[in-house]
Amino acid sequence: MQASSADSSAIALARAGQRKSTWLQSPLLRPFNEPALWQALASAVNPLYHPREIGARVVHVIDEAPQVKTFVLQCNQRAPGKVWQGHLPGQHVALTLMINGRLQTRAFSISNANSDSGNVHLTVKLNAASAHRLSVSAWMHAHLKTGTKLAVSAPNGQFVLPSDQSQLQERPILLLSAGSGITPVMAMLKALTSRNLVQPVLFVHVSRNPVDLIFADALYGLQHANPMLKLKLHFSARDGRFDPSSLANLIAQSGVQAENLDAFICGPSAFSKAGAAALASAGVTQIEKEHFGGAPAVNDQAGQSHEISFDITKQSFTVSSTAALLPSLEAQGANPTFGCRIGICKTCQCLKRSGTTLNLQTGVQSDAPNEWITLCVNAAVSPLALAL
Amino acid sequence: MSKFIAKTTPNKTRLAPEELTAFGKELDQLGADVRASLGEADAKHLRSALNTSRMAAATGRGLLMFGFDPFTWVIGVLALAKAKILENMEVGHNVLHGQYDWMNDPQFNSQTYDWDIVCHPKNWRQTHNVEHHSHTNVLGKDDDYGYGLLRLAPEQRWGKIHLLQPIWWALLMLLFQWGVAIQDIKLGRYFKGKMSRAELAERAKPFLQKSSRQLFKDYLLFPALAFFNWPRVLLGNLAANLIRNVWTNVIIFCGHFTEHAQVYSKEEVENECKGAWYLRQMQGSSNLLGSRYFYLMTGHLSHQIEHHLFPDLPAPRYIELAPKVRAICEKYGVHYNAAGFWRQYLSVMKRVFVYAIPNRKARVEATLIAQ
Repeated sequence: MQASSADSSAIALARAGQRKSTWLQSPLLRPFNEPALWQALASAVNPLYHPREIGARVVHVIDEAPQVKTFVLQCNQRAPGKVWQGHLPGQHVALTLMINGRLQTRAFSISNANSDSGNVHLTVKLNAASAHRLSVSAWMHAHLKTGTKLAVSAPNGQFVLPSDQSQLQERPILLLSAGSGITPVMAMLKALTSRNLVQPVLFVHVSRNPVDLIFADALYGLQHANPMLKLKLHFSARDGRFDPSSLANLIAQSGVQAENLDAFICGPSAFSKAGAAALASAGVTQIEKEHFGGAPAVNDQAGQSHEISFDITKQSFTVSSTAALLPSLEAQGANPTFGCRIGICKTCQCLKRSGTTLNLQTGVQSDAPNEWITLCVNAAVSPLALAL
Repeated sequence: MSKFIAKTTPNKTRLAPEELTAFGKELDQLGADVRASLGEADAKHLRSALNTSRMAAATGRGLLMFGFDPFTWVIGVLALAKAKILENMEVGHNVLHGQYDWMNDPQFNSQTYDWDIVCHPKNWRQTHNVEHHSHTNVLGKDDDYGYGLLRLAPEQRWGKIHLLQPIWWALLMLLFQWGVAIQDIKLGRYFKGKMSRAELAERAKPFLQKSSRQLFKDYLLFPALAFFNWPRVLLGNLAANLIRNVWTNVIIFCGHFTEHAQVYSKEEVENECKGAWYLRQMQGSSNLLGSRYFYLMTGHLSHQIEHHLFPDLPAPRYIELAPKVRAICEKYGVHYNAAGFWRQYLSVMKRVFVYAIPNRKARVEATLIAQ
């Protein structure tokens, strides 16, 4: 699944920012200390070397379900270069890919429980292409083959099982997911079942059809081997729309005290929100949730207001979707740097961490996280987070 | 004022409001088509231009450092000059315009890129991207029109200083990188007493920081690394910087000061619509015709017209845009100012000499009225 963009933007920003360098790397000594030269040498020593991130190679591609593939990566584990040091089940990595000349960064959940050997499984569902550009997942499905080299970030994310082993074994666990949100919870489930289960584990998953169910074989296998695992699969094409309030019954039926339960939810943001609310009203106090879905749906109605948050100065503003951001923000008291105000000089350009904007001059939408937008000619079509 | 300009600038085309709208839309569409097709090839071109520049720099600096004879010195100087020209014009200038921001590559981002020249990128983005590109050839607003030193059009006020302007012109050519580096400090305002000493010091900071780094590199560090060969390296670096200065200056002067390049007054461009903005960019700029290699070595500023219409499209695309822009010009009866290098440059030199003399303005006016 594609995780929320909050963490990957931190990575993009770190990449864009200046790194500490020694005098040997000083630009004054160019071209003799040309980074490309040293990088070529390092790559000759270690084929998995990557100058900025952790180098990796696709070693296997598994067809999981229609439009779902798992890419098994072998991540770099030796010098020179950054090395992969394992992850916690539930975390994700940011993948940086060069797609038609553009560097694009997206976060993907890791679907295996243990990656100490450097093997990382990324299970990716194909997203429909956006209007003007091939989606990253579509590109991955078409172009990532055994042997393809790429780069990943270190693992990220707070959506993880408690690290305290005794607490983990004492408390019953509820894993709730929808669609491709199964990937991080699958990593959790695999981690839990890698030891003998001593506490009840409830696994509730919502999928459209049985054929769309990712990891079906693994799930049925685990259910068979672990009597403490209760598997509840909801197929919305057959069972109708999933009603989160049914979770209370499910918890009651399994004989678990709601207040003892540790719940983990992952799915589209509306699903995560509704699930968390239903669990809270059922008396569950420990709820961790993660959502995905990237850009919210674009609303073309004129005169919409959207919240713009600046995540460096921690300010927030409300602007209309019909006017360019720069004048609207100024009218609200913000003072971003600007130049020509007609979209040619790029002085007011800033990194958009999330949300969708529309370029009023070119009609091009920017819906991917971490793209550069020019404030004077772009309007907000959704709430935005800007690196200002 | 407008009556006066109409008399002194032949060939200036004005379009009716509805024509301007249609004209603007056609150009918008041209830009949008290229924007939609940006991809792998553009990214590859930029990387290869930077690599070529790096190879030339390594060759040039190596020959200067380790060679002994005059022949390798000359080759070394030429290689280093080529490296600087490519890096400044094809990579630096274009990246700083944001032409490659769509690549999302931090290495080629307009806000963080730094180049091998004494001008601080921050100052450059202000004087060039903001002032020059928004107000192209608007007298009093576009400081690039004559750089505050030269009188190149009859509409510019004459002063005694202009009598010697062929000398200023030659000096500006030799010291061009310094000229553009101090442009954003606005020394003129300080000398007129409009700027305090403290403000001057503040404004000069980025310039001092960037230029001292460049001086240290070209005239201390690299000569020192060559030990006893230091004079050879120092003089070689000086020569390479001079060649780059002269070349960039000549190319840039051909972009806006040729015979048919128009100037505008502040009043003329008030409340200008997008179509009128395009029209002004077009008539204030001029192109050079030549080979692909020549285009590359000018950083595609051979295509100033297209560059001024679409400053944030990757420059190599101007070559394919040029015939389409020319066709639109013909359709609307706008003069498309393109000619070979010498023809354009001679007309620039003519302006330098002709407008050094005060009474020229009146004489031109008189002949035009007579016609």
